[in-house]
Amino acid sequence: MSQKADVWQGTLSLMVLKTLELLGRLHGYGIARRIEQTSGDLLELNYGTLYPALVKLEQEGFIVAEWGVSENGRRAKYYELTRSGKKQVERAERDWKQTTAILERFLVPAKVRS
Amino acid sequence: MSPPGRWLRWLRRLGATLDPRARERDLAEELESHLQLDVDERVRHGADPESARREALLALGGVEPTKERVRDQSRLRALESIVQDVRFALRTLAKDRIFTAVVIFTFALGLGANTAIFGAVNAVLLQPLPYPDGDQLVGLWAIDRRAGHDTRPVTPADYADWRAATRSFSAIAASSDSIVTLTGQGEPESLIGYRFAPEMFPLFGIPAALGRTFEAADGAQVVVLSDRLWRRRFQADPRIIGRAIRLDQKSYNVVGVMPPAFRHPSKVELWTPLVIPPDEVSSRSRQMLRLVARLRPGVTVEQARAELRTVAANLAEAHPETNRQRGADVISLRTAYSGDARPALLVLLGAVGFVLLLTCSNIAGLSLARAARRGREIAVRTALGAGRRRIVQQLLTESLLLALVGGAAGLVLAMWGAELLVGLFPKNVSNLKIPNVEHIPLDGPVALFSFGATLVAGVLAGLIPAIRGSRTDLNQALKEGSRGAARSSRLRPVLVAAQISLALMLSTGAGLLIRSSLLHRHALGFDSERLFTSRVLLDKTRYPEPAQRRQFLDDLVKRLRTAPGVQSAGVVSFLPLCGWSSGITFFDLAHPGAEREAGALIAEPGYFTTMHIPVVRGRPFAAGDTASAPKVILVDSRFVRTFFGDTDPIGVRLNLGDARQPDWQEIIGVTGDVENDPPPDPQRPMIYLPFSQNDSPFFGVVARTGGDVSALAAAVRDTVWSIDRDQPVSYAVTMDTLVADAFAVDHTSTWILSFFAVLAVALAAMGIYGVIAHSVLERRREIGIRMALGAPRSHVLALMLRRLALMTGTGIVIGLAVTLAGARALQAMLYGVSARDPLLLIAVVLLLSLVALLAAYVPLRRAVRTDPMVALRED
Repeated sequence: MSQKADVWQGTLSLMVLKTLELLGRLHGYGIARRIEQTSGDLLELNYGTLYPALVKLEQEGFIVAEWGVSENGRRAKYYELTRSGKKQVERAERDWKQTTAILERFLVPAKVRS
Repeated sequence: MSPPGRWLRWLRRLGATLDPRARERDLAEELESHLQLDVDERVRHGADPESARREALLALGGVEPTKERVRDQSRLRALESIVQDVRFALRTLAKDRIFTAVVIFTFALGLGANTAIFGAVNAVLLQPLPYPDGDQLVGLWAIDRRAGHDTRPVTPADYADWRAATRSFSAIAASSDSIVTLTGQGEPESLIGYRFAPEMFPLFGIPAALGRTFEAADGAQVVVLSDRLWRRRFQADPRIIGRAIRLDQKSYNVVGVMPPAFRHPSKVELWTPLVIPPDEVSSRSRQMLRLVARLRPGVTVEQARAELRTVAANLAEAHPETNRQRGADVISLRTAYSGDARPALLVLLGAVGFVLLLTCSNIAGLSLARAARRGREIAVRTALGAGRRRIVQQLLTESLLLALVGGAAGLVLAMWGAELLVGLFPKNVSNLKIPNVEHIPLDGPVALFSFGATLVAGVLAGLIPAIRGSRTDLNQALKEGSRGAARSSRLRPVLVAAQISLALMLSTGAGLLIRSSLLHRHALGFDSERLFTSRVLLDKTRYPEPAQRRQFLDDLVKRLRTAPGVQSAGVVSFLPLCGWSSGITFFDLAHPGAEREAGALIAEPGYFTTMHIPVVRGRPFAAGDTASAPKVILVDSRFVRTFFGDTDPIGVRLNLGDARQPDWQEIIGVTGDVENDPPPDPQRPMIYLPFSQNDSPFFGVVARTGGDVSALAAAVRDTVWSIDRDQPVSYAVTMDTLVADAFAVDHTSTWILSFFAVLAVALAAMGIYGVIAHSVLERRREIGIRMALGAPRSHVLALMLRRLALMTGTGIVIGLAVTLAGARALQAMLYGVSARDPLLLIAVVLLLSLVALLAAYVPLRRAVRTDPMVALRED
């Protein structure tokens, strides 16, 4: 349990965008499940935190929402990347990689020394 | 995304904001669909539907908290939640009608009073002078050191030296005052005119509205009219330019009309060119010039004053025989226009600020009580996921909403109040330091101030209750059942103590002003009832000889005494309190070297009898005091006190001339003291000279009647016109009007401050009642138990009284401390009363204690009469 991580807003947004990039059109529950599965259940995602993130991405114009019908016949609200959303995925991915690369340099030597 | 799509999305979002219900529905559906999908999934993995739903809800983190989080994210949330808060506030306030009405009424009084007073302050003290760079304009005055800080006009020779020696001014120009008689246009009229040097108008920087101002080539017979005179007497005729009008029986060519904004000095009707007679150009004793100057950019009034004082000191050394006692002063024109209204306005502004603070703390107290009653509601809302900030916002919205409604009602009150404030600016007193204000506009800046004050008041009154209210302890509040949380009781007494101290300060201020004006009223020194006054200012060109003037006076007095309705009549050179006065210097035998100064009035015997001014020692003027008889004078008791102490003045001779040309006159009697100089000037010792031995072209006429005093207006005018049809009669008003005008600033401000004080005491009483009533209610159970256990009623009473005494006592002590520290601010408006008058302070403390007891009476009685059985059975 203690190994599970909390997700902060920015990271969650990137996960949502990446999920939508990979899977295309998807509803909120689908996105949540997908993130959970991809993280190999390491992430404890409170599904409720997903919805403010979705509203924010929608406001920023990276995703659009539309009501549709799920595979098992339920009405659901589907989200989809917009063109600026697709660009945002690339940008956010680049930023993230850069950040982690930088952090890496701090973390690795520390291990060596110990 | 295509532009149309973006637009569509934006529109949808705006729509969602404006229609929160649709968005809420959308969100609810989305979350429901989420749960459905999750339940489906869990059921597919073998869970039973019921526990699947529970787990799904758990995984989501609850529907309501999620909704609240999403709302938090919504961008236009702020606006939306304000709309929501306002709606909610309106609903709750509508439910609590009495609270709402009381609070709105209180806000309206507090804010209305503030708006009205600020309107007056804005109109008089804050409006820039209507001249370009008006703050550079200053008056230059001589100071007579013997008479304290009295400003005097400047002599022509001093003026020339000042011009040459000073560097602070970019321009200086001279003027002098005069009174002219306008004839040939219907009724004759005496007008205050000023003689202006040609460079005076350009100094102000305002051109004529019609025609032009003076040019160097103009002769002496040209005139510029004020806008007021042009409209009043010439029907705003644009063809007036170039026409001739008759002033003092001479023809003057109208060259221009000034715009309404040009009002220098404020009561002047026309301007003629200043010509200094050749024999006076080098005079150092004729104090005739009134100087206006423009400060060089960057030079302050203080710097200019320091420079001018140095110049005056040098002149005093160079010309000791005339200038030894002569200083100089620089006074900004703004101060000169409104100087005497300033202290009153500032005192009122301060007082009204206190009233607003009191209003706010009173409303805060009411809201605290209400918040306590609403503890449960707030607790429920918190439990349902409302954040603390949200609750504070909600409560503040309520307070602001109430303040806004109250402020709007206050504006209406202010319009009415502003009319009352016009009374601060009298018309019949020639005191040039009070501006002409006929209307106090509640214009842009005032509305802005009012709005700002409303917001501040709303936040002040709402913040403490809001923060307090949001701090509700959930468990406690919900557990306590229907009674709600009642923990406001520690803060409210503090607020009430503050109210008591504010009320004490305001009542002390009002009390001081009332005492001061009562003292004044009683000490007028004459009987103002059924007395009619007017001024007859003889035209020197038509009555050049003293004998002619005396003949006119004799006729006037004789005919007035037989005029219809007149019981008695008299004449004096200047009426008391009219603002015009003259002084005289004298020597007495005991102090031959010391020149002394006193006020001087010329009067005929009928003046004293008509005014009911007693002659307390010696004899009055008599028919035997003719021009050829030995010269006699009367002095007033103040004169005796000032210069004689205990010695008998009767028979003492004073030299009213100087050492070279002595003019010995004998004191034959002592009169009672009369208030001759209107406030704020101090009263001077007075010498009365008889008209039969002295000459004046100015007649202040008084006539007493047994009947209708206003009927005398026609009688006096017709009497004057029966002697000379071209002689104007000015300022025809009853003596009561003149007195009222003279004390207008004091009386109006006293009246207003008293109103504030009553308001303050009433608000404080409300606060006291509220706290005691609340604490009686709150401790009903405890009281019941005590009484059931046998505590006598007096114990219960003592318990409650201790609370009252602590609260009231704290307020009184703090109020006294602040009052004593701030008393000096009021001293400028007081005559004959110390701002720290101990008797008054004791009276105010007693009054407030009594009010506190009265306010607490009903709830205290309720406490004492508590029936233990009922109290314990309750709830």
